[in-house]
Amino acid sequence: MSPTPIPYTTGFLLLRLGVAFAFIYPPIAAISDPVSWASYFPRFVSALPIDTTILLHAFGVLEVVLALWILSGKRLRVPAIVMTILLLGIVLFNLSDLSVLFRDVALAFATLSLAFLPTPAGDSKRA
Amino acid sequence: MQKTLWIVIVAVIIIIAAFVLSSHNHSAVVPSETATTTATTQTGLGNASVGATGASQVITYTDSGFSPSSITVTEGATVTWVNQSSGKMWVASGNHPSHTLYDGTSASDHCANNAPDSATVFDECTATLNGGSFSFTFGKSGSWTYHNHVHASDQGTVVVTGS
Repeated sequence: MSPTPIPYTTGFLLLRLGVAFAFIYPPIAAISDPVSWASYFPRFVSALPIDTTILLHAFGVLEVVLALWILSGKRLRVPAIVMTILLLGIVLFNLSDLSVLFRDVALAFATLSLAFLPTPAGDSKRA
Repeated sequence: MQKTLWIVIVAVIIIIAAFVLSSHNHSAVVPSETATTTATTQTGLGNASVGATGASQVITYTDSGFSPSSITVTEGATVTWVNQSSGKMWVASGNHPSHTLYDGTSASDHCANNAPDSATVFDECTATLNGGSFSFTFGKSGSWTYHNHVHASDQGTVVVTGS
């Protein structure tokens, strides 16, 4: 007797929830501890004549927007690809921290999968 | 669609592999970044300990990172980090951002007052600007990785051997 399959929509929702959480948690945590999170900025970003904390929170707004976009389930290819690029960028600019950031590589593949998965309603909602 | 997916996956894997390999090769061709010091060697600090308690060492921090990036000292040695970079330096035990490696306590606990709460805490707990310095006396042996908490990809290692 084969197990009851989890509906595709449930798996799709769980994947989006997981990805959204990964992008909502950092900006919230950065409110209380901005230094720890800003330290992942590459040196050329830190060297910009803009306060690093402001940059960090601006980046946080982008992360929240992307997370909400992913949760909306509409035109997922755009936020999914942007998320993938951001995640891989963080890893590549902090390779010495790969023992911690290897999780971001896994997350990048999760976001990349969202760019290729057909939505439950079909491809019509995708960019 | 299927072909595009595989192209993207292969490209991502190649890019990651290239960066990882180039990173390893870089560290392999810069042996001068590593310095080994015995207890009898001193580096000019006025209050350097002598003999079995170990010598003091100075590590400079520039825009290129810590130099030397790895040193070996004996138990009881004091290591001083001097900020010669254009940015801030906050020396702290690995791993970022918890800093629990050396003494098991997290930064949120041992830096609650923006200063280490005991002499055994390997954490500057605040950032110093160019010209500033931080010293720490290693009281136990082991291989202790550290980093600049303000720029976490800049890292180093202090290997402490028994006195």
